[in-house]
Amino acid sequence: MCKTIRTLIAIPLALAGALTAGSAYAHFVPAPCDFITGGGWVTDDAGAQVNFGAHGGCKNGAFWGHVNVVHHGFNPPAHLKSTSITGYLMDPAFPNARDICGEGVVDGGAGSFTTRFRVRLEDNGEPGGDDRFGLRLSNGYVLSTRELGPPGRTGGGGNIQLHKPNPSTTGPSPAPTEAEMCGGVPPP
Amino acid sequence: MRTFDFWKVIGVAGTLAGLVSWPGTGQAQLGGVTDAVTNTTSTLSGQASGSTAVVMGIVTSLVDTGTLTSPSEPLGTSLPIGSIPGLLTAESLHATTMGWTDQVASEASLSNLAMTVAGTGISADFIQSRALAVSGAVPTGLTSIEGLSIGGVPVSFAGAPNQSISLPGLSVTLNEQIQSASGIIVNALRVRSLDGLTDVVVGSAKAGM
Repeated sequence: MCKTIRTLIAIPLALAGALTAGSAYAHFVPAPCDFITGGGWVTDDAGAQVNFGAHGGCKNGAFWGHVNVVHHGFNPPAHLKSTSITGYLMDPAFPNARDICGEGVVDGGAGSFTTRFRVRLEDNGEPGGDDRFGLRLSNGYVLSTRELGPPGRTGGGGNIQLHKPNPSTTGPSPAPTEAEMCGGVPPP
Repeated sequence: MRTFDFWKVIGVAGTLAGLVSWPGTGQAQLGGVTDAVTNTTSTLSGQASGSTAVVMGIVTSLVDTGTLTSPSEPLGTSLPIGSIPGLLTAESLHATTMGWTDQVASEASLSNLAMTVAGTGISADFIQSRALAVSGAVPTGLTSIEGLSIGGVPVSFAGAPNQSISLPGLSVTLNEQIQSASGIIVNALRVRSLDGLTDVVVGSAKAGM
């Protein structure tokens, strides 16, 4: 039921967004814009735990949010902390998903450097095991988008929530392109 | 969901009815709030924090959003690694609160919690609390606790509100939900020492209309 409602909402959102952003880009700022929030953990392809906490969206003509990721595949663990949010996008092929793009700092066992990042958060209902998370950095690192759990499938946990628009959830006008928002970093 | 039966394992089951006040610095900020975008007046309130600890009267908070004052100003904060020295550490903390003209939603989450209170170690893979207040409806709360262990013993979290555990010198409440006329406070995990010196809330979300 929840998925059906979301799909019914997402289709006009996608069409509106496509009209707003033009057809040259597969991903665009949803129109009207909204929020997504969530936290949890997944395991990477080598079995290492990756924790995340994130929220993002549009706020009064700009993008807004925070993204934090801790990757235990490094010793000590690598941390990604967002320093600015430069984009918030949806993919009509995944109407329950939103991508948050931004700039951030990585430190820990992966070294210390600044990076562009793109995370995908996908809300596929409650309690959250079907929700999905992925991450890609501008240096080529990618954690492909995967389910949060339950443990035993991909391993992980957590919950992601896509929130409806409100009067403040306006993005930049005109909407920037996907390349401008994400610096060429493709979806994870 | 990890389904170990804490009750059977250590045979400790207790009831604590401690619905007490918000332990942190922020109380609900109720009253008329005029939204600059919609020019409407509402009585929304919202706040979220990764953790708030009161130790011998000293209050320390991690990733506290502060008080929501307008549906035009969602609030959020986060940390990759957070700690309250001598008490707890956690990863990927985030807290956010946002309002609409007809509802408020707040959320806090963190991973890899490691905490020691009154000599008892408490850990969890993931903790999240959510609070939702919709105009004209009873506010609701939701808590996720995964991989919880207390004193080295895995603990099952069934999801019901106000699941209490009594231990020597310690009380633990899972999914504490405090309903009031003005909204709801959801504390995913609350640990108090029985000597009254320590009160720790992990994953707190508040919403009211």
